[in-house]
Amino acid sequence: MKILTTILLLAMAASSQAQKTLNPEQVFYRGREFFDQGDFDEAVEAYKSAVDVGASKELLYNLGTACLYAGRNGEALYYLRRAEKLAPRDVEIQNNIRVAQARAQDDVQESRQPKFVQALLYFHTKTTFNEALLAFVLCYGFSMLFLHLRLLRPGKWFLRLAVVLIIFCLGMGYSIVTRAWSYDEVTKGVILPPEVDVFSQRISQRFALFFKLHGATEVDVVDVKDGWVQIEVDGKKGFVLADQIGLI
Amino acid sequence: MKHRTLFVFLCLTAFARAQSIDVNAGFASTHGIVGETLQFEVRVTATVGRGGSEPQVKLPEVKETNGLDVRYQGGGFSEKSSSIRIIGGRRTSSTTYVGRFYWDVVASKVGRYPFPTMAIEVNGKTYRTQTITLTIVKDAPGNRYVGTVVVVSTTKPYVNQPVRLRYVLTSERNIVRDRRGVPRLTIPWAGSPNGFKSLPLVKPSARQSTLPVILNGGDQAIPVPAALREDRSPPVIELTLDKVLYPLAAGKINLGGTQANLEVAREQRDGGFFRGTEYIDKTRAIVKTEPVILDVRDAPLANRPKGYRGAIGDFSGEVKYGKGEIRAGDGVTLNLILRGGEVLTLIEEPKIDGDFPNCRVLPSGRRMKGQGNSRTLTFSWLIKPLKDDLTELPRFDYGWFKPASEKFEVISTGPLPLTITGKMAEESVFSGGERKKSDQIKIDLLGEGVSPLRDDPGEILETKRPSLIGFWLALFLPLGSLGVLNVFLSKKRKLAGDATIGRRKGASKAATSRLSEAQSLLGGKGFYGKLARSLGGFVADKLGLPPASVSAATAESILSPRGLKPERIKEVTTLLNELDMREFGADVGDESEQREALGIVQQLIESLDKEIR
Repeated sequence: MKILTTILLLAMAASSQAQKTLNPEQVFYRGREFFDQGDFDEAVEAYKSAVDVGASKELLYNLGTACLYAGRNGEALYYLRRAEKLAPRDVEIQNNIRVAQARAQDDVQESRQPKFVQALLYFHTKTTFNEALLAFVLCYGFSMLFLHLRLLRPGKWFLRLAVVLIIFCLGMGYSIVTRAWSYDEVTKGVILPPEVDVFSQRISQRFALFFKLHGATEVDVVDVKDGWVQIEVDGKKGFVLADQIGLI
Repeated sequence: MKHRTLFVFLCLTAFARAQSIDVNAGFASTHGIVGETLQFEVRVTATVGRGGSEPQVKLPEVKETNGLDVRYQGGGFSEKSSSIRIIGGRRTSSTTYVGRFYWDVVASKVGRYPFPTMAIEVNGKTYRTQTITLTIVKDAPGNRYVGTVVVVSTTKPYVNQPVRLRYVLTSERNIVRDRRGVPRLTIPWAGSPNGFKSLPLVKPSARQSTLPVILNGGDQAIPVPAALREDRSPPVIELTLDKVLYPLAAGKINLGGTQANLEVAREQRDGGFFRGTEYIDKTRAIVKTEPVILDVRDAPLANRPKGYRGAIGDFSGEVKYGKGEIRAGDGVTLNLILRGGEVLTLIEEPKIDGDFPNCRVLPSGRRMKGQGNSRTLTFSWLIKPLKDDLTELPRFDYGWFKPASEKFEVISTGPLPLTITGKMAEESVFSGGERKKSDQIKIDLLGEGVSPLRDDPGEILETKRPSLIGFWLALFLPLGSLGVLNVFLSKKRKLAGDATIGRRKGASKAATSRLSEAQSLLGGKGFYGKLARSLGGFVADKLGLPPASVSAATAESILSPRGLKPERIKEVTTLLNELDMREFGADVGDESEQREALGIVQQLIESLDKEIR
């Protein structure tokens, strides 16, 4: 019996060792296998172990989608939002975000910008940093080319084209620099567990339970400190434990 | 070699065959002790004429020679100066480069060592140094006057137990501190050694006597508690340096030995008005101490109390619960207050989650108050019962190990009787309201409406903060290129003697001026001549040609290559011809005729101004 137990333990150790040595790509395929077998929770855990190492839009998308199948809406929305950051115009990601939002229990008023503002901010919100940088380099490069040509062959058109392109470049440059500088700023969060308590104060003898929120509710993040996150939702501010909210 | 030390070159000037290059080499001192690092320096001074570049130096590879361990430490040209000479009205300018190259030389035994000649190649020419003999002795001659000791409070400290180290240097003679140098001390633990939290060296007060030294390569003023103990014979100078280190982990740690390199001498005051000080009988002293090895211990495994939570340190404390009467959903505070000194900065928040079944422990705030040895560290947790029928919070122990007494200490509170009033809220109280059941999506099939999974993992990369290097490069490189092109074109124009640019730009202005001069001659004889010169002058200015070169005969050949329309060229040619004829003809016409001609020329000049590029 003892020998059998030892063999079993050794086999388990070897299997866990093998799991540890898998690279993120292998873990991705393993997650897919679990998913195809209908073991959604195992799939989620496999994908999560790969996310700890690195991320791609496909990995985050699959993780978010597996969470949807596993009924873990909060986590689903959180990972899909992260995937959206890497691929802001991906139709499938947008679709699954809508599904996760539709399953959210709390009826929070979402602040939507007017359409013309959305159109104006399209470049800022719907491109990745690298895409924005490429667009800027191209646009700015052409504007500089026209300015060089203007020096070599005087003509009004070169100058006019350059000025128009430089105006575009100013907007793009502003977008790129603000994205890089505000990279570490957290402004949004997603409630992860099915239900969380929101407190009016971080800690006190007679603290008040302010209200409750449910998974996949998106909130504004005001501050992160000492294991607590101060959030704002529908004009109400409160505190949530940091491990109960996914910061985007 | 330190910048404060005046470098004494001994013998070795290998004169350059060319007057413009000097190569000097030498040691600061040819006497040293066993294990001492002596520095060999080669100095290259090269004076080059205008436009000359930094000399190329090729150094020999020397590693071990005649029992000496030689290591090249680096060097290069660090000084550059320019000079201009005017001799007999003739001006010559030159640039002088000074380069220094260093080798460390260490002898491991007593003896006399010949340091061999070195071949140094400067700009393709080889210069040779002379052989120098180094004398290595066991002890420096001044060592009999100087002593050092390192006092350690304990060599077997526990983790977090402060270790006090004191470095003491005593000298029976005065320590030389003049423009040639100050004592050099190497004390590895005086900085921030790895594996320790170290307190900064105590800064001497303004009133305290200090001695300037070079400590581990940096300037430092060391307090001299007994600057000159006159009561002793001979007088003793005592330097002390105190350091406190807190070991962070168990294990054997070598803090290294110390070395002091200084000159001692007798001091003699001169009898002059300023009563200056003079050093006599100077001797060098190089004193070392053995390495300090600490055996850092963890708290003993035996007799660890139940509430021991890993902390080690000499501090006291108390722990207490808040009030036990709470409303359902509220919590009870648990405060752990620790009092002590610097060691409290090393105490981590204990994990207490497992101590409270049926409760949720909300994270504490860590608050530190006070300074020095009267600090207070407070951890506060909120213990929230998850059941409203809970009647008691369990006893809570906090234990730690005290290195001073080598004993475990435990503080306790509770158990706390609990009275919970009211019922736990079960329904959501979110004021925004929950969705109505009918609004909620029925999740019979969790995958309904969900886009399918992907098969390809994509490129899995570590998340990194976006870099703006590419952006700044893309922004500034073309601007630089634009600037360079602009400068290039401007220079090109200047080189081409393009004074005509100015003329071209001012062509219409000059024409207006000439036309107004012609207008002033209305009715007179010179009118047509002036008008002809206005037109011809404008064309010449516009094309950057001499004014006399434009006439009725040459106008066509000048204007045709400029792409002007043939009818415009004909107009210019005809008009110039007409104006010439009028100027030299007998009939000057009346004033109205002249005004008409003036108008025609004005219009033609305007048209040409637009058409000639």
